[in-house]
Amino acid sequence: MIERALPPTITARETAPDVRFRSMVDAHFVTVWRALRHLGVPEVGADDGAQQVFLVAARRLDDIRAGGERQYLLAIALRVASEIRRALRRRREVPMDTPVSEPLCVATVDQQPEQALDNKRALAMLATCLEGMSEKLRDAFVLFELEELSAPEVARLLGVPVGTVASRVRLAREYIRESLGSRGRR
Amino acid sequence: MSELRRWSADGATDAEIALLEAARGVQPSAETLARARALRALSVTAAATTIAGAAPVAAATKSGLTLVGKIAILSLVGGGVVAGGVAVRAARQASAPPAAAVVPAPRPVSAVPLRPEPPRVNPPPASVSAPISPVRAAESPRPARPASSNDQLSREVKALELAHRALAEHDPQRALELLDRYGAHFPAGSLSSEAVVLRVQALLANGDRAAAQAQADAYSAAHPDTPFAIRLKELVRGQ
Repeated sequence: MIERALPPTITARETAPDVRFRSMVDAHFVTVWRALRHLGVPEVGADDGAQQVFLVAARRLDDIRAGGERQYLLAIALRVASEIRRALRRRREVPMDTPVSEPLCVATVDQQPEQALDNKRALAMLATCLEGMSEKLRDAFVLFELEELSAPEVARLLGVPVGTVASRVRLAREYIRESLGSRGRR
Repeated sequence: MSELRRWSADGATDAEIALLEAARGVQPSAETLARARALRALSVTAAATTIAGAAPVAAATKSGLTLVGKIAILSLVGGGVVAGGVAVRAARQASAPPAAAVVPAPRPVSAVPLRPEPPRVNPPPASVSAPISPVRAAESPRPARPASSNDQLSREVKALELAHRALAEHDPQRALELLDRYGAHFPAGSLSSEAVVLRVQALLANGDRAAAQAQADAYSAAHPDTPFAIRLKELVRGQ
């Protein structure tokens, strides 16, 4: 993706790992950055977090199977996000992310029940909902519904059975639905 | 229980589907994408160097780390260094101005390596109508940001890409010249820390281990708990 915006810089002398790393950045940087944000990494940490996910991946390039790059990067992103969240929680003076902290989205939705949601508001709502749910639910929901990994892939990343993934995703949906106050509306 | 299907195919309301689509369409700012370019330019060589046998977490117990950094770093292997550094930096940005960069380095080094600008009040949530399109984002800086900021970042990225290319072509002397030029043009550049990493790599490739060590030490003294400081130590040790 990023590649399209760049002049070609790959030279003949670069090694295969170099080229592979570049293609990983090109193909997956946005995914990693976005996943970190959805996983609760504040804006000020997401750039560094994404960069560091790739630095970790660079160290382990030999362990990443061809075709499994995205999943591997998301696995690292999960850990990085988890550590950042934990560190920030223990450092109380740091707000997790103030811009999305609308109290709850119910009232706003009720004002425009059948309409398409304003996009920014939708994102703010989702962020509020994600912040409110447990990390277990959040991780499963983000990986399955937003990053669209398969349930078995999510299960592998989280180290839980597929059935647990299914139940966490469903609980997360219920949580969001209740938060939105949109039950039953189609 | 039945097999898990995507919510959009499993009873989601229109509002919920809109929510999912909005979330999948979130994209980074143009500045973030410019940093991704810097990552491409930088970390290829860094990757090869690190793969050659550095110890990823060896610096984790350094006494200069804050409590948060220690907790984060010690609780993970590999990624912990990273998360610790990021969290510490995020904490600093949110709660206090960064310490001044008083380093015996040849040129000023940004005290906040990757994000020298203050945190934005309004984060970027992108619009659904504009699905992920880094190219478009890179070409159309958001109105809230001055265009010159992105222009400068692009120029910085290009300058570092040239230096990286020289390094990849086994011409460290040329890389050092290009890095000198970068420093002259961007004395307080947004990518100063990346430039230091490249410089250390170039010095090592040039056989000037003492200078590389001095650079790494100077940087670490000014930014003891940053991922870059840890990486620099790895680089110097791994050669």
